[in-house]
Amino acid sequence: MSETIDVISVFRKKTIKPVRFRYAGKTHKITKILYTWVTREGSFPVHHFSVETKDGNRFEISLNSYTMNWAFDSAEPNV
Amino acid sequence: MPDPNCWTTERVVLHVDMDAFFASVEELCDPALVGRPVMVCGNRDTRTVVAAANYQARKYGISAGTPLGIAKAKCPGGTFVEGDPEKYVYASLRMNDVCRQFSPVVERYSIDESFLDITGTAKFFGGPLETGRRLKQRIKNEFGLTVSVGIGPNKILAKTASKLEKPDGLAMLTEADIPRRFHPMPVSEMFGIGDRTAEKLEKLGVETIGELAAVPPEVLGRIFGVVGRLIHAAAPGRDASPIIAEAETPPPKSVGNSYTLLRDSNDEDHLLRVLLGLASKVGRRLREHGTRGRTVTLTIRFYDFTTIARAKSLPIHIDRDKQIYDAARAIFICQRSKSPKYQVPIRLLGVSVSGLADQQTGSQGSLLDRNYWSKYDGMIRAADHIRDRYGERATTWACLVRRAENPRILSRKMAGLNSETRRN
Repeated sequence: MSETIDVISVFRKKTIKPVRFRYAGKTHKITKILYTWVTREGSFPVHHFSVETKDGNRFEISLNSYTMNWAFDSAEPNV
Repeated sequence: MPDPNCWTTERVVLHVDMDAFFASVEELCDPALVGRPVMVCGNRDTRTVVAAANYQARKYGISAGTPLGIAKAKCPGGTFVEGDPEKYVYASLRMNDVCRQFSPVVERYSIDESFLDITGTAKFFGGPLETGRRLKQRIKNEFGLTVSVGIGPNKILAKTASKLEKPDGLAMLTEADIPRRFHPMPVSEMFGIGDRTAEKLEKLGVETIGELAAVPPEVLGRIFGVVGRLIHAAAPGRDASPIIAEAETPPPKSVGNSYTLLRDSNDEDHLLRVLLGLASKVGRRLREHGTRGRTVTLTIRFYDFTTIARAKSLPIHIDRDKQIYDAARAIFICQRSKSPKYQVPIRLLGVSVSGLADQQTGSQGSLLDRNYWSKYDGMIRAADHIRDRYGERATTWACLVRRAENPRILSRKMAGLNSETRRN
């Protein structure tokens, strides 16, 4: 199950760019957005991001455009 | 197509084939996978097969369809990634958006393949080969993915050409290339010939496409039926089949869903719940398409892969979950009671509805049931609205909800479940 997280993000010209997020008591700075994709929950888009953080780890986070909640979806196995 | 870089009035078809698509998308999501053998599969804790293998994994003899256990034995150091179909569907749709910038006539042939009719548009991009080059570049720049492009005067030659220089290839086959390049190819390379057909043909001594073209159609028809005549017609490299743009896609002839159980099961209660889940999905899809059907088909695959499909035609056209479930359940019970050989563990169940007509066709219930169906339809309408707005998982039948999950329940009685299925 996805866990709701706090994310600092930039919304600009119809694009969403997550910058930092807090997970497991730690703030992770996003250095690279590796891949993005969009799914739907009913009539609402959910924006998914595969991101790399400053410490070299990879995470998947998503933004539900209906609830406007960010969720932590997965981390690579060594995290 | 005499000159590949000049506009021509002959038909020009371009085939785009994404290279190791699922694995490539996963490599984008996790660059640490690049250069390693990567296999995309289903849930790793259950029985599953490899859905896609990258080129490094293919060196170990692994391809789509290889069972996970065999893939692990062949490539113990490989990385197995649990696939995410939504990720791939989104990438596929985006890539088709790019294709539509090169031609309005784009046929999405599968999740990782498309045909474009560039007869009228190639001139704007500098000819067919230059169109292919630009399309490849656009996809590479926008998504970081490589594709192989084949160009030909028809679908058969275009698809064959896209295989010639894989991965990241660009090749063209013209009509003049048919005797020199197309006919000497092994039959297994021809569009429409699968491994089994190729094997059968090779046993008959037919090894190349040219040899296939020389076999009388009646001989192929006798051995392969309709398929035999089709492959004979394709072997000379001629094909007039059109590129069907999405807007022109004909309505479906049937709507169906199937499910492979996590473990083979002989538990009738569990199997009936799976049937209800499948019937609900089919009913929902029928209503989305605005159609109803009058033939319900149940497919059962047993533990030993023996598969049976049995159909039941109804006097009326239906789209209600309960009616589909009742018909599928009746077939299921009938088959199970017919012979002990059908009372063995089941691996897969499938439900489909065919004989489709639009939603205005047929009546769905007798006057005696009017009150019941009126309530039922109201409930289903409400449930469909909720799913439209909040997603498919927002509501389901009570008996399909496990205790641990949030029990947003629809009426058990409405589901038409009898006592043996009321477990939760």
